[in-house]
Amino acid sequence: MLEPLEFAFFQRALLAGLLASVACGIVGSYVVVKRMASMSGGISHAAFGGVGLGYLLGIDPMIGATGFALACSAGIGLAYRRLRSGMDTLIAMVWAVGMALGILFVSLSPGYAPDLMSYLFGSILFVPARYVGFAAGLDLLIVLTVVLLFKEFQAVAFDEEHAEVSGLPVGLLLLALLALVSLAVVVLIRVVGVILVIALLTMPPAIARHWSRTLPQMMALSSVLGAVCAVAGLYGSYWLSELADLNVPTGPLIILLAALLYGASVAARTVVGRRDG
Amino acid sequence: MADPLGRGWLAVTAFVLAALLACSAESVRRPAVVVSVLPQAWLVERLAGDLVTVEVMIPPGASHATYEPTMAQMRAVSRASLYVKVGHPAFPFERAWLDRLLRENSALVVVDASANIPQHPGDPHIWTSPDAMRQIASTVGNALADLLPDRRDELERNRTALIEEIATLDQELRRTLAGAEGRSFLVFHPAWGYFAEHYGLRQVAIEERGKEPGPLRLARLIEWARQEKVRAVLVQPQFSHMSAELIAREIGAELVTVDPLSRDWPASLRGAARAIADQAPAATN
Repeated sequence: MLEPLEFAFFQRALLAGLLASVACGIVGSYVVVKRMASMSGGISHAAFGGVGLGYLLGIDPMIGATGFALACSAGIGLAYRRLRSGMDTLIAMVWAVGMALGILFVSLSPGYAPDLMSYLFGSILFVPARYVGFAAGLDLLIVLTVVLLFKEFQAVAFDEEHAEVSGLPVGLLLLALLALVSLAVVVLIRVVGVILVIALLTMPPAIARHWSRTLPQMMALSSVLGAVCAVAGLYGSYWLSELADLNVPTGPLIILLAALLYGASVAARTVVGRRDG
Repeated sequence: MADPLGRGWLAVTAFVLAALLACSAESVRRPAVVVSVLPQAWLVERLAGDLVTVEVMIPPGASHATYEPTMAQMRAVSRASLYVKVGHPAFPFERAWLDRLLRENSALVVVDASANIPQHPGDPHIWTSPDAMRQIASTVGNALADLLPDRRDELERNRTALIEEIATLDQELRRTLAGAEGRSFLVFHPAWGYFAEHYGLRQVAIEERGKEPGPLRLARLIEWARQEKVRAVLVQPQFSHMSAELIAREIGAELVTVDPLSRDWPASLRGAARAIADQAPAATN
C-alpha cells in the first residue's frame, strides 16, 4: 500500500483524485437531481474548444478550457429559460461545435500538440504541481458557493416552478449552478479528460442517491465514492502492472470501477427494497 | 448546332497543351526523388544537389507512426522516378502505405536504404548511426547514378564529399562522447538505438509498448535513474513529453529535446551526443 507513495507523482495523483472527487460529489449531485447530465456533457466537450484556443494563443490550455466552459454554461443557461423544447438540439450543437473548434484551433497552431490526448482522456499521473493548487482553489469556490446558496439551489434543483412562485431569481440561480458545473468540469478534465468527465459527474452521485435521504448526505456520500474510485483506480493500475504486467490507463479504470459500483448498488437496492424515492 | 470548338477554343487548347508539355519537360529535366523521412531528404540533397527534386512523405512535426499521405503527395509519387524507402519491417508508415503508394506509379524505382545494414528488430531508426548513414549514402548514390547516367561524375564527387562529411562528424561525436562509454540515457521513444550501439551507450525507453507508461513503470524508472545517476532525458517533438518531464523533474535531470527526424541530420546527432555527454558526473559530485 505504501510503496507507490514514496513517489511525488503518485502523491500528486492521489491528491488530484481526491480534489476531483469533492467537485464531482457536490456538483454531480445537482447534475443528477436536476437532470443536467447532457448539459454537463455539452459544456465539457465544448471546453475542448478552449483547449485548442490555448494551443493557438500559446497560453495554458486549461485557462482556455475554463473560459470556454464558463461561456458555454452561460449561453446554455440563458437559452434554457427561453427555448425549453429546443434545449436538446442546442446542447448537441454546443457539444459538437466546441469539439470542432478545438480540432480547428489545434491544426491552425504552429508546432506540435503531442499532449492533446491527455485533454481528451485525462492524465492523472502527470498532473503538474500547480494543478493541485488550481483544483483546490476551484473546489473551495464550489464549496463556498454551495454553502452560501444551499437553500436557493435546492429549491431550483427540486422544483423550479415552486421556486419561481416563491420569488427566487431562478434564472440567475440556474446560471450560477451551470457555472459551478463548468468549474467542476475544469477540475475533472485533468483527471479523466473532456470525453469522460460526464461519467464522474453522474455515476458517484447516482450511487449515492440510492443510499441517501437528503441532498447534503448525497453530496458527502458521492464525494466519498468518487474518492474511493480514484484511489482504487490509481492503486489498481499500479498493481495490475505489477502483478499482471498490464498497462491499464488510470482515468478509464476509475470510471469502470465507478460503473461496477453502480451495478453493485443497483443490485443491493433491489435486494434491500426501494426506499421511497 | 454551332461548332463549340471555334478558333478561340482551338487557341486556348493549344496554349494549355503547350503549357502542359513545358511542365512535363521541366520535370523530365529534374527527376523527382521521394523519401519517407527527413534525414533521407538531407542525404539525397547532399548526393544530388539540384539534379533532382526531393519530396518527403512524413513532413516536419508529423509522427511516423500515424501519418497519412496527402493528396498532393500521392500526385508527387505518381510523377516521381525514385523512392528511397527506410526498408525496415517495423517502420509503421511504410508498412501501412508503401504498397498503396507504389501502386500509383509502376515505373517508380524503389531503393532500400536498409540494404546491407544489420537491423535491430523493432527499431526502424537506422539513420541515427553514422555507419548506417555511410552505407545508405553508397546505396542511394548507386541508385541516383543509374537514374542520371550522364551525371555520374558529379554524383560520384558528391558521394565522396558526403562520406567524408559523415566521417568527420563521427570523429567529432566520438570526441564529444569521450569517457561516456557504457553510460545509460533515458529517452521517451527509443529512436536512438543505432546511435547508442555505434557509440557504446545504453538507451532506455520511457514509453511502455508505445504508450505513456503506467504508475509502476514510472516508479521503477525513477528508482533506476536515481541509482544510475542519469543526468539527461531525451524527448522528441513528435511525442508527448509528460512522462519524460515528470521523470526528469523527479531525478533532477535536464529534459533535452532532440529530433531524430530532423532534416538537419548532423545537428540532430550532435544534439543527442551533447545531451548524453553532459550527463557526465560533474566534478563537484
